Amino acid sequence: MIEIKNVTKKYGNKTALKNINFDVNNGEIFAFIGHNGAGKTTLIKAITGIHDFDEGEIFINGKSIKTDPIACKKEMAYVPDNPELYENMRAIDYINFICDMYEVPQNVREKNISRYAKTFEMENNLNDTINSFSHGMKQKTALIAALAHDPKVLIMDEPFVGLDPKAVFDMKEIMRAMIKSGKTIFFSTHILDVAEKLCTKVAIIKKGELVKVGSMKAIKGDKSLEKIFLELEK
Amino acid sequence: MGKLFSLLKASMTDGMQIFRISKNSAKGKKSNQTGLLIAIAALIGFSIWVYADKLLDSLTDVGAGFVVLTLFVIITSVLTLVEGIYKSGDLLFNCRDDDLMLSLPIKKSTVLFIRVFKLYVFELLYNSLFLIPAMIAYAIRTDVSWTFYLSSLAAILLLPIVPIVIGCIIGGVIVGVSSRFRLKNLVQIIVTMAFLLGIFIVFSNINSVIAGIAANATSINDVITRLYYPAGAYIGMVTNFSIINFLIFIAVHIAIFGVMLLVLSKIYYKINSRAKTIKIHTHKTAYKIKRRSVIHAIIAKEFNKFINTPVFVINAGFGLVLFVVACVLVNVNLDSITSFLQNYDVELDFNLAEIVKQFAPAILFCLIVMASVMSSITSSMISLEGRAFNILKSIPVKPTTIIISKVLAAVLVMLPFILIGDLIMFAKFDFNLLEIILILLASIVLPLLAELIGIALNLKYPKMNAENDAEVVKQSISTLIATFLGMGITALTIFIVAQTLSSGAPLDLVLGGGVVVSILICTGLIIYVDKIGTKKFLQINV
Repeated sequence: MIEIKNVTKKYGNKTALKNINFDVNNGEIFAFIGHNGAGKTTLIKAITGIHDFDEGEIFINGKSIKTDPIACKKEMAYVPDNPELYENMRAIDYINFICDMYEVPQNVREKNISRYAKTFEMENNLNDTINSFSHGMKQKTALIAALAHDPKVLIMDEPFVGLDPKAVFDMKEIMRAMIKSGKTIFFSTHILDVAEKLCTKVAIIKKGELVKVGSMKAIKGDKSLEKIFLELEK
Repeated sequence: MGKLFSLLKASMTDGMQIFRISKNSAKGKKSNQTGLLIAIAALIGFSIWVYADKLLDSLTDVGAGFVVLTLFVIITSVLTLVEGIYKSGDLLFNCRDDDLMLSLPIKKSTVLFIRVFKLYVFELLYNSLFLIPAMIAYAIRTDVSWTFYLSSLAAILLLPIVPIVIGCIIGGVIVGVSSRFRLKNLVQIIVTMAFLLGIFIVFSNINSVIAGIAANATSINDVITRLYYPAGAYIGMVTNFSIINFLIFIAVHIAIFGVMLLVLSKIYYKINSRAKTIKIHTHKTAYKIKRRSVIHAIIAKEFNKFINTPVFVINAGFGLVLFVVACVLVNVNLDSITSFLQNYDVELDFNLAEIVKQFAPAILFCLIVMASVMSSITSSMISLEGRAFNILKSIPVKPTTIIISKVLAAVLVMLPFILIGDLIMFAKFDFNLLEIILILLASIVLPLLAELIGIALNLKYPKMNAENDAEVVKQSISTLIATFLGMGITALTIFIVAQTLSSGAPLDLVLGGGVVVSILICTGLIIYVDKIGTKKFLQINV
């Protein structure tokens, strides 16, 4: 579960996030949408402990990211929008490195790496260095590394960008399977159709302020999410 | 022309971060950092001025003050050549803005010009640090006219060109050749090291080359001109100014730069494309997964980064290789050093071989200090993470563990070289057991100390958005400070060791004192890294 309480983040005089409040419960897929520069990545980086924030609190399964960041990070996995990985490593070495950081037992990592490499059709590429990969292949490598340690909370920034249609389909299936087992998924996206079909809850951010948050049904009613979003952007 | 200026402006604004440090820096912090840079530049400038002035003491009496200018022109030219060789591989052929630059509707020669110009501006600034104080010292001691200032201005602006051109051509050839191999980074490292050692050997034997030229020259200036035209032409203008020679001097440099651009731009795109091509040879589905401890995994990751970054290896490795070479030379033929020094008219009123034998442990201690502080690896380790730094910030590992793992990785890189040097010296000289223990302790503690200083500097002055690795390794404020701090620590160590030994202090006590002081400083730095370094680590936003 992710609890975001009165989070404010400033860059000098500019307020990037203003008093953000919402919860993401276990078993929910939560979409976070907003235009470019609205503050999506800033909030995601605050949740994952990459960037600090000025006011408020963020809890991951009851633990504070400010006071107990290591315990929080152990619970979650993060997939960035632009997968800047260790370019000179082989994909398998990178994934293994991330597993080492999360102290994943040998049998678990073997099972999960094999499973997700097969799902994302990367089995034949794991021995290649990451600098030979396309954007999509890097994204798949980052996803395998994130999923390999079986996180309770999965946080992704634009996870579908660069993925081929089959990988998008498989990723959606993985996400559905994860929430069935009570896990939490929070991701930002510009692909509103996917968000609408996949997510149980949604938050819309505009210029650092939340303008809508709630269940997908309650937010969009009979309209499409795209229409609601465009109306709010006016 | 407008396009070129726009491109130059964009490129220089982005590339000269060393002089802006951080866009996000607070005003006060910014002025502190600028002040620090100015202070370092002033300190170097003052030291060079004092040294040049000392040299001029005896030379002006015999009317050969210009030799000081020659000396500094040659030194800066060699340094620029060395820098050009191993920086051009990254600055010209490993730029992250390649996709943008090569997709713009501009000539490839323009792209090449912008990149070489960037290198030129940095070398111009570094050269000025050495040349301007020497020129001022000469101007104060000698009765100079306005033509001296005109010639010197032209020299400051034009002298970096020839070594840069040669460096870029050699760098281009190295990248071109190494890109044909699967392990191109390794080949690039080996070939570049070979070139640099070659330059080192040539300059070690320069006296015989000079003797050969001098035999066929009519004056000192003729010797210099035959040896290296830019130096000779500049000294010619200083001693006997002629407007024709002045114009030829300018024309020759512009022509050399133009011809290099013309020739290299023909093959630039080809070499650049090949350098960026990744050869994939494996299609094996079998892969090994092995669980490691967190520290082991981070150290392995750092090794991977180190060996795949040629400019990083060459920068750190050259000093370590020279350390081993120095130990081998002392071991193989100590007596020849005396005759080597005599070749340079250095008359010794003592037996050098005996002195070295008597104080071998202290000399080795000083050499270890020099090799450690001059090969600071960690001063660019944080910056080299670039945007991948967020991976380290998102993993469930304490920043202290990450920082210390990086330090340990750097120490492990240095340790084999230092231990080889130790063994060579142990084999040649009679070290007692206590001295062996103290030297072995120093061989661990001193690299640790150097790398803790390096990481502390890099955490304070990170450069996370560099265009290429050379900008981080050679042109960032943390590496710059680490280099000059290293020089200072080496000089201070030699001074303290020499002073304490000459005052009659026992050798073992001096060595032991050095080790104890180093351990104390290391402890202080570990506490600093744990308390303040981790905060700095978390404050780095990419």
